[in-house]
Parts: sequence; C-alpha cells; structure tokens
Amino acid sequence: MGEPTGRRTAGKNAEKALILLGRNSKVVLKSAFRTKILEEIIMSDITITERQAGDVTILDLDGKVTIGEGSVALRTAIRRVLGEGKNRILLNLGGVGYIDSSGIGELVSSFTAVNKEGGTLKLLNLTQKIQDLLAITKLLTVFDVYEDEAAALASYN
Amino acid sequence: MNTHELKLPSRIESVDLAAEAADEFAKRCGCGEECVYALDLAIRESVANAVKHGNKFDETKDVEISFAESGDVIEIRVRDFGTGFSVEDVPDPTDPANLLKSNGRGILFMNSFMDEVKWENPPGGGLQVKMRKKL
Repeated sequence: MGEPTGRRTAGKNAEKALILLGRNSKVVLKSAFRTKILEEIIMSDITITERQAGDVTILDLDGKVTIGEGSVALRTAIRRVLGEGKNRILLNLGGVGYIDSSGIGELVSSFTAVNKEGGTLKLLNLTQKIQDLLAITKLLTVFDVYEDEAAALASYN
Repeated sequence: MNTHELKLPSRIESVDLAAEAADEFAKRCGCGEECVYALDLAIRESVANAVKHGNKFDETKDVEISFAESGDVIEIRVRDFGTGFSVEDVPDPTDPANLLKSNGRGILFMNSFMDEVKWENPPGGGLQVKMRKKL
C-alpha cells in the first residue's frame, strides 16, 4: 500500500518550497494525514506556520519581516497558499517583533495578490509597532484588522 | 565625541550588518528602547536605499556609514556612490493613488522616526543622507 495522497502532496509542496527558498531554509512537514496539511517555512529571520480553520488559511508569522529573507518567506508562503487554491487568508502578525518598509510592502503585495485571485487577506494581532507603521503609511485604511482570531474568522462569513 | 565608521558592500546582507552596528552604537550611547528602535529603522531604510537605488547592487561601490554622538544628539550619515536622485521626486506613499504600491515608504519612515533628515550631493558623486536623533 502506498503513502497517503495528502502526505505525497505535502512532500511535493515541501520540495517546491525548498527550491524556492534556497538551501539555507527548510520546510518542516508537521502533519499530512487526518488533519489538514500543515507546513512551516523556517528561515533564520522568520518562521511561517500554516493552519486551516474551515476554508480560512491562517499563517502564523514569528520573527522579522524585513528586506531579504523575511519578505521572501512571506511572498513564498502566500504564493504557495494561493497556488493550492486557498484565497481566504488570515495573517497572524502577533509574533512579528520587527517589520521594515520592505515588509510593509510585502503585506501590500500579498493583499493585492490575494485580491487578484478573488480572495480576501486580513490581518490579525498587530503589535504596537506594526500598528504605528500602518498608521503612518495610512494602510490601516486598506487592511481589515482584528485583535481576536474568532472574530476574524467569523468576518469571512 | 563618540564616533564609529564602517564601509559595507552593496548587498542586502549589509542592511542587517548596519543595523547591528547602529544598535550597538546606540546602546553604548545610552539610548532608550524607543531611540534604539528609531535608529535601527532609519539605518535599515537608508542603507537599503543606498544598496538598491543608489549603488544599484554594484558591489564595486561601497556604502559608507558613520555614527557620531555629541551631547544629546546622535547623527547617522549614509552615503552611496550612485548617480543620485531627487528626493522631492519620490511619490508620496500616503497619497491614495500610491497606497497599494509595494515600495516607496522608506523615506517616510526615516522622516517619521528621526528628528532631522537632510539629503546632500557630496563632492565625488553619490547621495548622502544625514539623520539626527535626540537622545
């Protein structure tokens, strides 16, 4: 009997992500059977963990979203999720201790990329620093922002 | 007067190196957390600009950085050796027409977090930004 289909698919996704991210990164396959496929993109600056809540994909970001690795990791994660046909995305930024203009730009690019696919990208758990930067850039008027995950998930319905 | 100078190659990795140097310098000068954050963000944005838009990733061109503390002020200078550009020509990223652009916010952050930001065209070419922050 062969491997479960989910596991094979996740393995292929992991291989693809490794190719995209380069050899200094790794994708950890967390679970691929019975529950939804969960993956982590781990780079030196940031870890992105994917969870599924109904038809909403939650990406938990932990680390820095700055020029270079952090921004590339976010872009890669969004492309991968969109490539899997998931276009309802919630970015949990609670673990992001630092973001620069490149990271803010990547949030905007993610927002427009998801919109182009007919989906919705929302933000969860902004730190004070991120909130300040989004206020300075007037992007709080663009993003739908939540402090509570349950309320954020309910807003997709 | 407390000073520190460094030259870094025109690569993205130099942004982190410059930020580490700024953090160390700021802490040595007794900067508080808010001041350290402001200097860190300003140096990241200015060095990223110098690498990308100034030197255009040409590794034969350095990015020159200096930190100086005098009295209750820290001054950071970042210079590239590119062809220069007019800061006035950079579109306002907070204009509704530009809100969804993926770049162009670095100078806004520098202006927001530093007390003074001055752009100069130094002899020998390139662009130099001098930023001051009160301790």
